[in-house]
Amino acid sequence: MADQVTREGAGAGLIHGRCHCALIRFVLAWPVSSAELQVRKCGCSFCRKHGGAWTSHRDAELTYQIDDESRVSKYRFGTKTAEFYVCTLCGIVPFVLSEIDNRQYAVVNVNAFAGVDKFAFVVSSTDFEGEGTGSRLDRRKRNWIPNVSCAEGARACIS
Amino acid sequence: MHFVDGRCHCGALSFTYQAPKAPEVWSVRACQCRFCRAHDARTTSDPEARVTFRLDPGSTSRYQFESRSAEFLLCSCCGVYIAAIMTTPHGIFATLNVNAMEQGISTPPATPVSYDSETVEDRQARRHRRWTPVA
Repeated sequence: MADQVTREGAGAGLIHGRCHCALIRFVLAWPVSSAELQVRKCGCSFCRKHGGAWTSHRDAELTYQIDDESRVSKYRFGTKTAEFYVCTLCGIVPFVLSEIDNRQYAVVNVNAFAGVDKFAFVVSSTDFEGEGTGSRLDRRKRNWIPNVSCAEGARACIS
Repeated sequence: MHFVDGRCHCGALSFTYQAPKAPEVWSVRACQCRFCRAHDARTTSDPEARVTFRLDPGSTSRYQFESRSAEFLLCSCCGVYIAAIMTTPHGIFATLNVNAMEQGISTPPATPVSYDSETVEDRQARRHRRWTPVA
C-alpha cells in the first residue's frame, strides 16, 4: 500500500491524492459499486476560506502517508472534535480525522485528488453550524469513512 | 475608496485592501494551476489599489514552486492561502485570495485562467502590470 500512496493516478477504485508539495499523500479505496462521489461544499468559516469540498463513503478506505510529522498542523476549532490535517508548507488540507469511541473517521478533500476521470461528482452545499456535538459525532459515525490507516513503511504516522 | 479586510482562519495573517473600485466590479480570477485548484483560490488585484499585510512571522509560510518567481503567503497553523507576492526592484506586488476576505462582500464570479504558456519574463511583466502594490 505504501508504494501505491507514492504513485499518482487512479487505479480500479483507487483514488490517489496529495497536498501540493506531497508531504501528505493518500489512497482512497472507493467501493466499486459506486461510480458517483457525493461532494459537500461546507459553508463554515474554515471551509469557505479553504474552498473545502469533502467526500466520504461508509464502504471506502483511506490510507495515508506523511513524510515528516513535525510539518503537519492538526488544526482544531469550534467544537474541537475534528483534526484538520494542514500541510504547514503548502497549506493544503487533504483530509480531516475525527476520533469517536476509539475509532478514526475521515472525510477527504476532493481538491487534493490527483486524477478522478472515472467518477462523477455530485456537489451539494452544507452548513452544520448550530449542530450539537452529540448529533455531530453521530452524523460522522454514519457518513464518514470508518476505515482509516497509515501506510505501511511510512516514516511517520499520526493517529 | 473601498476598504476590505482579509485574514486566515486563526488570524495570524491578515491584510487590509484599499481598492478604488467596489467589489461588485473587481476582476476575479480562478487560476487553473494545481496549487490554486487545490486551494480553490479566487484572486483579485488592481494596480490602482494598495494592500497592507500583517504577518505573524512564526506562522507565515512563504511557499514557492516551479518558477519560484512568487511567494505564496499562507498560514502554517490553519493553512489558509491569503495572497501571492512578487518582490522587484520597484517594490512588492500582490494578488489577494478573495476567499480570505470578510464575508458579505459581493464579487463577480471568478474567470478561469491559465498561465502555463508564459515565460518567467512574461509572468513577471504581467504581474507588474496587474498586481497591487504593497504599501
